[in-house]
Amino acid sequence: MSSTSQKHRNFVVEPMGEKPVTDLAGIGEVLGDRLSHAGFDKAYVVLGQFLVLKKNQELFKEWMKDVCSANSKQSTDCWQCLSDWCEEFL
Amino acid sequence: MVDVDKLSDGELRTKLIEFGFPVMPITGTTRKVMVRKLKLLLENQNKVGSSDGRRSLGRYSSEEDSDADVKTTKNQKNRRATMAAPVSSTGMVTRKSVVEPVLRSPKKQIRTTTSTTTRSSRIMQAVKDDFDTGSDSESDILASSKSKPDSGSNNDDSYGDVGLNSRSSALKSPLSTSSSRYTSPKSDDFGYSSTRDSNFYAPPSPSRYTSTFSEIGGTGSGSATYGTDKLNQVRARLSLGNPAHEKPSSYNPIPASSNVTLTEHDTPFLSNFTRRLSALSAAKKAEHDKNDLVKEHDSNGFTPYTRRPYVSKTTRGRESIYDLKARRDGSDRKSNFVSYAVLAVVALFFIVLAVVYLGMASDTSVVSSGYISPICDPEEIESKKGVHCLLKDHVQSAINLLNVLRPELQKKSLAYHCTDPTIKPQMTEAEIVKFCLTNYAVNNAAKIKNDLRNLEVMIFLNPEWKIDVAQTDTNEGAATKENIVKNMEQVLFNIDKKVTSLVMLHPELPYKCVIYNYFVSALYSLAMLGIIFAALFVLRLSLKFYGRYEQKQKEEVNSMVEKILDILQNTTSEGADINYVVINHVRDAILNVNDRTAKQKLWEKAVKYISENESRVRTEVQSVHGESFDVWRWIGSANLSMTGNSPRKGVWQGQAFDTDPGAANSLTHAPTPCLKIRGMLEEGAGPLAATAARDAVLSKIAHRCRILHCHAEVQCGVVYLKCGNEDDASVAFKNLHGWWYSGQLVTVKYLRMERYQERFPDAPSGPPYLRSAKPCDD
Repeated sequence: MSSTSQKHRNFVVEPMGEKPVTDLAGIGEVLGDRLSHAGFDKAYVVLGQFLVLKKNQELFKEWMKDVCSANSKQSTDCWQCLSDWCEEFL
Repeated sequence: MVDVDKLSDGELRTKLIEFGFPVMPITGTTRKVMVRKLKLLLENQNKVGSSDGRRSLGRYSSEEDSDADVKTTKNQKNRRATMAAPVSSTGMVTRKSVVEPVLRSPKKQIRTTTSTTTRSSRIMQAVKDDFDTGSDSESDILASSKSKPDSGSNNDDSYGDVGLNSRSSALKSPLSTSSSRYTSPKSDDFGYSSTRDSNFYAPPSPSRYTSTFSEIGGTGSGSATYGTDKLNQVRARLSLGNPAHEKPSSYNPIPASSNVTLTEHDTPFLSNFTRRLSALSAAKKAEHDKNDLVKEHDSNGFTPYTRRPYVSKTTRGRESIYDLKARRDGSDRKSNFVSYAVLAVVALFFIVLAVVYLGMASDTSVVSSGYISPICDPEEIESKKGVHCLLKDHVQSAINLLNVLRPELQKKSLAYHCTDPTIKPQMTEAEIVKFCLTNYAVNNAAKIKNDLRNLEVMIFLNPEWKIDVAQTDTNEGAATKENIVKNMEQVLFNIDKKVTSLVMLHPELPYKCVIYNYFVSALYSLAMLGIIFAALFVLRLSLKFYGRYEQKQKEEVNSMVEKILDILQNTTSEGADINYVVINHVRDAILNVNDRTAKQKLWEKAVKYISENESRVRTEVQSVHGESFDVWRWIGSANLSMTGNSPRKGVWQGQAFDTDPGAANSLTHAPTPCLKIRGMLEEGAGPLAATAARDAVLSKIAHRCRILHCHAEVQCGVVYLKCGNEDDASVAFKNLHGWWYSGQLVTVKYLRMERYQERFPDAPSGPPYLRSAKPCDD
């Protein structure tokens, strides 16, 4: 596994609070916009979806692809990010 | 295929569960994903062709099971057929042809089979009936009433078979049961051979079967035939309303004829007598039907005598194994009975004799002769008269007095021993005189007294009267063995000082009284035993209870001590200046307000325990707020209990060895500004651990030297560090090498600049320097 991105580390070190969805690793301007349009404007909403899918990577990636047409790397990053965050704070 | 998109949420969920997919909430946002998943699964299923989900798998296995069942029943049936074959192949064939048309439902089959299994007894009865044409119905009832346990056990055994049969096809099962109808070898399955009597009917081997058959001649086979006929009839009756039996007339004759062929086949030398017999039995069938029905319902109990009439009649002029055996059986029982009866009579006789004897034993209330009477020699010295001897004419009056007194004494003694212990058994001289005066027409008290003295003399000489002379100090209480006087001299010596009396110490007690006395004494000793046992039990119980109480007390003390130590450790580790605690405060912290007085003792024990056994706590007197208190000071290390369990995470724990420049373990000066730190990360640790390790390194040295770049590699568990220059690297080396971090020893090596650049091309070579959020000060 390669080292994680700065964005990932920044997200994982503290509680997410009211952070926007774009603070999630793997989600940039474009994806963030799409997610916001789909109603997922905050990181915690995505977290909710992540939890509803029972942290299942496959399903989560599928969902990401579906809702904001994220590619594999982006969705993996996002999943990893949320997973790590949960490991730390949930 | 179902349109997955149109399924409701619930249906979708159940579908997914069917595929063994984990249950997930189907919501608006997850629905799409789930639908796609389900589609994928359905596609996969079709592609692989493994359309058997878990459910269908279960169905398959059950089908296989039932297949196996059928197979086993088939096997069973085959086994039976082959085993039954040696008996008579023609018989088998005919029987098959008879039974095959009889199609029954499994339920009916059970009933029928049950009826067949009671056959052994019925055959017996049938045979018996055959011969007991003139027998009274009572013996019939007797016989039938005794055949139940046998048939009952048969029923039990046969239920397994019934189950099998009912599972297999209806066509096969009647065959198997019917093939077992004759007492063929495999009737062992039914447990016939377990009883002695049925042994004959169910010989264990075919050869024996046939031989016995031939030996018995027509009688045996005839009986078998008859039994079968009867059986069929009963079956027909039992399964009334069964379409197969609606025409019993067409059904019944066939087995009869087949049986005849069988018997003819087996016993070619059947006598005419037997043939006539079977014909007779067939004629009599009708009138026995009713009887049999009654028997079947009422019979319970089995007797060895059931067979006797049959035995006595079949053995006429014929000596066969069976006959011998049967006769022996019968005679055994008969002789047994006779011997038992004789024994009983003898015992009874002796008992009666004993009773009579005991009753007769003591009726000697009147003494008239057979006593020793010491007649005084007139020439002897005068003084001895009245002590050792009597005058001749005094003897008779003394005996008269004895005869008067004896019943009274007996009565009193009995009363004393049996009914009322307060009644005295003895009669004093005064009482005797009074008794004689009141009850008899004697007026001379002096004469009575004189006679009494003479009687006493005679009593000493005639111990068989069982009367003793006793002398007691007072007339209070009963005279006992100690009071008995040995001879007349003593009596005369003490006559003025003590009360002289006659007593019967060992009277002839009636049985009732003896039994009662025994009973009372037994009860008494039982009660004593009971009391002793009860006392022991109570003692044991209390010991047990005490032990448990002690244990509980000890546990409570231990837990309290633990709590105290906890509190002491906590106060110490909190880092307050005062590392002692007032003892009373500890108590108040541990115990509730309600418990304080109740648990005072416990607390004292705990305090004692700590002062005696806890080396890490010192009890001393300290003044707290101007008042002096007994306090506990914790002198052990604060986190003694914690270090044992797990090393604290993410903490620098101290230096293992000296790393000043020039020391044995370090270079005099740093060759490069780059360092490689090992031991901070475990290999393959998560990114979080890497971050934590990096932060720890920074917090340790970032405020002591200038650091340009720091990176934690998770794969190999190494932290790379680039410092501002060689001096900074030296400082970092000194502060990291040989330190404990999270329970692990950290080692540091210098790394060549080029290698570092290769690995981290983007590492900065100038300011800004890295800073740590919370510098560590040790």
